[in-house]
Amino acid sequence: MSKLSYISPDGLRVDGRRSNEIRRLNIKMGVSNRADGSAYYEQGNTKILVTVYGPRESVNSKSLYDRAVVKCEFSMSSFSTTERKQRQKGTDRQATEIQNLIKQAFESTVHVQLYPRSQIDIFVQVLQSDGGLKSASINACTLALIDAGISMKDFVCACNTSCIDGIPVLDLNNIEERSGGPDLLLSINPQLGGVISLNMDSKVQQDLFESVLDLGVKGCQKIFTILSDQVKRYSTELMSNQQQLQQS
Amino acid sequence: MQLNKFYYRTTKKGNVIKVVNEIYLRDDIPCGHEQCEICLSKYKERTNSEDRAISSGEISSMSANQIYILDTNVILHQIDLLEDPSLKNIVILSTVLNEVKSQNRSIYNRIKEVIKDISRQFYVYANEYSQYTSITRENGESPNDRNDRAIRIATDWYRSHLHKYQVKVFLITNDKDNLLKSKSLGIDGKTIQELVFELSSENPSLVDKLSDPNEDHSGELEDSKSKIQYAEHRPMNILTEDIKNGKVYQGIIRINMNNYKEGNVQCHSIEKDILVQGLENLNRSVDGDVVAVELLPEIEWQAPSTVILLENDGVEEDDDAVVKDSLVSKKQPTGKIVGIVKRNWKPYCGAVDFRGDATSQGLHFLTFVPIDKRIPRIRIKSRQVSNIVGKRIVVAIDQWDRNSKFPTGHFVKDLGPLGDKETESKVLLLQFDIPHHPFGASVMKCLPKPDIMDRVTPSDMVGRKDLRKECVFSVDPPGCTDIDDALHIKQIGNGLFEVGVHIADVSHFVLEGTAIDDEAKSRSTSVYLVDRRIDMLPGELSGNLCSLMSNVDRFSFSCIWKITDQGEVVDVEYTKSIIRSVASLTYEQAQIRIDDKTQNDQVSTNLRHLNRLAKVLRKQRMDRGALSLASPQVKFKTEEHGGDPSDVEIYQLRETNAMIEEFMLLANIWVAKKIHKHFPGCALLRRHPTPKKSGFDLLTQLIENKGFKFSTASSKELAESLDGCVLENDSYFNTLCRIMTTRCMSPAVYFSSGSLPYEDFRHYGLATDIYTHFTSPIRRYPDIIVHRLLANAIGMQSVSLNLENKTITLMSENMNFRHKMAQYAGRGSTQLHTLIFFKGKKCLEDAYIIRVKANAFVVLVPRYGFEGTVYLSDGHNQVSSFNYNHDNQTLSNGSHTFSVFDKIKVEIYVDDSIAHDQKLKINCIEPNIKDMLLISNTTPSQVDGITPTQNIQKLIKSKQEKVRKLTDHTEQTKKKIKTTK
Repeated sequence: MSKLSYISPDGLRVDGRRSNEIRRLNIKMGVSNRADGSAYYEQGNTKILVTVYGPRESVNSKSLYDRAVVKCEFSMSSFSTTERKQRQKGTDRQATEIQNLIKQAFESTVHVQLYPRSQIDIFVQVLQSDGGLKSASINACTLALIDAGISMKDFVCACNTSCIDGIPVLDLNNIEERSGGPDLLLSINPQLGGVISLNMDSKVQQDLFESVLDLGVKGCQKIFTILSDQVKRYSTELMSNQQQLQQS
Repeated sequence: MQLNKFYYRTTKKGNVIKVVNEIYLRDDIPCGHEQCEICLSKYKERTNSEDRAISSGEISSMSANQIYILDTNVILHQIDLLEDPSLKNIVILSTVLNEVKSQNRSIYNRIKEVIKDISRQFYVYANEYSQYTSITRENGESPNDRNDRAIRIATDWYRSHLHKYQVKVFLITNDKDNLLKSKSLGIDGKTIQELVFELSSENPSLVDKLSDPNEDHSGELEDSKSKIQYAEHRPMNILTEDIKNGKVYQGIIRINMNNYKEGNVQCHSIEKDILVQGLENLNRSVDGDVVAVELLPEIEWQAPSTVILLENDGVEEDDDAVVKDSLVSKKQPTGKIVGIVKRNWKPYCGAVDFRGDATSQGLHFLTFVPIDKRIPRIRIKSRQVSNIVGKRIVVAIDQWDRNSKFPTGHFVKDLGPLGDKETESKVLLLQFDIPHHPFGASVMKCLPKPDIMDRVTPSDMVGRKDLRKECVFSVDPPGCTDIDDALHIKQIGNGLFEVGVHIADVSHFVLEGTAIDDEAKSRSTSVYLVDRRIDMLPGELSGNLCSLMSNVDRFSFSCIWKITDQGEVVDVEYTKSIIRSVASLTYEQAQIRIDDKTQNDQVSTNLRHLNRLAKVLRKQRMDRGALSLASPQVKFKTEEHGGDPSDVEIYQLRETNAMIEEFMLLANIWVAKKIHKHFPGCALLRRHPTPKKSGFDLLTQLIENKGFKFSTASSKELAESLDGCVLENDSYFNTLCRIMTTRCMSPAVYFSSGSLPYEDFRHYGLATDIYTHFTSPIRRYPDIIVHRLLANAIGMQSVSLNLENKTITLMSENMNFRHKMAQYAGRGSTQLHTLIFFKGKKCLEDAYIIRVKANAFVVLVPRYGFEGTVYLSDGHNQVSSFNYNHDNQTLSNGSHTFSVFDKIKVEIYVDDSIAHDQKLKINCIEPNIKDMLLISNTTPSQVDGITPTQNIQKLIKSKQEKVRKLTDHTEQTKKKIKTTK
């Protein structure tokens, strides 16, 4: 009954962040040996594992002669939420939505024409869910695809923003997501500067929209710097390993 | 630093789940002291200007070299004290704030108000998010202990942090354990009492505001002698169990206005209200509390008493027996209160009842008598009797012990001398919870520049129709400064008229979500008292920028129809516009212009056109079954502005009043249609529920007793019946019938169209299917909402987020509440002025009986438009010999019968024998009750010392005898008939 106050008078949110701060990112690339590429991605308490297989020959006849097809399978572990849920047969609405989102985002960013008649499979597994699933999945996929060595135009960085009590806030956690405010998901190509997707649930006031969007762009840029840092570090690590191998 | 916090929670199904939330611990939370530069520079470095803008204006900083950190219990118990502006430099920890919030919502809101006030220097430190002060709950530690420890650690951090600036930090707590533990940590701890006594040398009134929940009352000894001993309240956990099982019922208690020993509990689970009678059964519940009530066995069920208790008879009267007259009305489920779920104690206005030497010093126990008759007397302690006696004061209840007849409380605020018009008006505003503080700085900041209307820019004109060329004028009561409506009419050929209603465009200045909008929303309506007006919007807007005064450009929202001279609407247009009124007339001036055939200027001819059209429209409306009701409205004449009333006159209604009303109704109806079409789920409308037939039963019977036909089957039949109720020798009778009909109906209410089916939208009184309020946005908030909706509907404004059924429903609830309160306050103000008017006078007036009770009847005095109670018995020793007939609503003693609608002569004077409770006394002069009472007192059946109960029992016996005689008689006649056969 008592309405939660999502932002305290001194500007701190329920988890102690300020309105324009993202949660802590913890990233690990190349976690699965079997897959062609993989990444483990933590954003606060949201934990996701992504594995990428491909590009490989299409199993069924749905291949296209001039480019590769991106396929995505999204699944939540039954232990990922506070209340254990019985898995239903087939995919639920949320999963389908995220699958399509990822498919579209990466079909436009991966150089698909380099891999004709083939398919790229992305498997997203949510280990723990604490809000911001869509954006976290997209970021994790970017890392896994890079790990798989698939040629891409740019990163895809995503971030969700909202507007609580008239204040735009960045990167919602689970509590804030349930506040019923708008949920704006923005994914961009941070270097090329294009918008990949822009989804919004619920309504936002027209004059506030601009500032919410601005904040989203800032958030994506921030995530990009962290991701690219991590990718560079991982690559140098790989290189040095290779050099060591060659020397020995 | 990141940390996970977890706790266990049970779900609705009963599963236990673990909830994990992460918390980020920061090192950049400023300590809030002006001198501490480290914190400030770190804070500035980490945040950008936008972040700071969010919190600016809401955070104050501290300056003194002594700062106090409060414990939760101090805030919960001493909120009145904390509202005193002499307390400054206080740190409120977020732990404490959260605890307060979960325990008492209203105190939380009050402390938040204090924090917002920058001059008070209350600083909120987010200790739970600070790296230095955050702690996790240890194994086996209770949440309470954990919070206490968090407070101590935060205090300790403050102490070491501010040490280098020579700032002393004190922990203020009344928890002995906490105090002890903090002392062992080396923290300076104090109780709130110690602090107040230190400060009391500068500010003695602080001591009185101190509430003392834990102190042993020395005065209790004498109380223990009194036999009042209430039953123990059941503890909360047992109550919730019992409520779940259906053994007891939960509901809000409403004490009877006329009888403080009786209350009703409204429950959801049970159809009828549960009656609670007697102080023992009420068991320390105060009006408005959420209580748990247990039903008594059905044999003990009672009927609500029909007696009006004279006074709040306090200690002198020792029997709590409720006059039982169960013969006359139906029994109701009766119960007793076994526990209190939630107290709803508020500060109460009243005065102390003190007979003695007011100049004496030292501590005194006083009895406080609230104005609200439903609230018990409150015992307070004071050191400054001389300052309190003879004053209107505000008192808050602290607690109510089992063995004390009355609750104990403490002094909060002094309002001013008793009987003073200024003070009593203030009391009215407080009593009806009307926000009347001056507009704050943030609200005034929202105001546009006063010369904005002189510089209308093209951007203002986008979507606006320029109607400055039209002959627009306004008609209002004299002295009206907030003109919110104006009209124009012109002939456009083919027997068509173009009629425009122009309403002040308040929503142009009051934008959604601004401080001024929030303020207006909470005020919801302007409140009109006899001698003053509490504006909903600041005077600059209501009296100038929005007011459609003559000869200046003003923004308006227009509704323009094309109407045939038969009153048929052919076309309608809604548009924002700019107008320039050519004349602001009063009703009287307009009437003169219409009547004076020699005046043939444009305004006068237009007025005549409007008047003719209004009559056509009115006739149509009446044919549909609209009611014309009445209220005993009067107007006070004052010699000078703000002076005492010198005379009373009946509010005169002219043809022009009806004319303006007619067009306003038309506008409201058409706007309602439009917004409902565009927002079927969330249009703010107004409905007047069709009254229940049972509500009219009594009135129908009474009027039919008078020999008239009275049908309430539909509003049309009702209207016709009312028209028929005319007594030739009494012109007021018809008005009286209309007044009493009004009383039988529930008032009209605002609602959101999404919450009811279309059939229920009906406005019964106006006989229209759909209705809203559009025409007075300066003084009513609903109209502003409707303006916004309409602007959305015509595409002038972007759709706002808050347009949902839920928010509109919530808003309309508040509006209905405020509207009701404003009405009560207005009535209260009239009563107050009537009282002032009659001071030192004794008048004889005609009056009509409108309600009959067992020991009294209520009369209405048409000349002054007020009602009062005439008691048949004066005090307790005298006993009325009148026979009360519930079915016919009569009181008779054989020689004379009082019944409803009787015209009597009454004597009116002010009884000022009790200084704190002056009131109008009404005595019946013709027929003279006193003489009748005298006669009845000498009758042999009356013996001294008979209690009312016994008396009534006697009456019952005599009645039964009569019945027996009657039956005997009929049997005899039957026998006779048989024998003749």
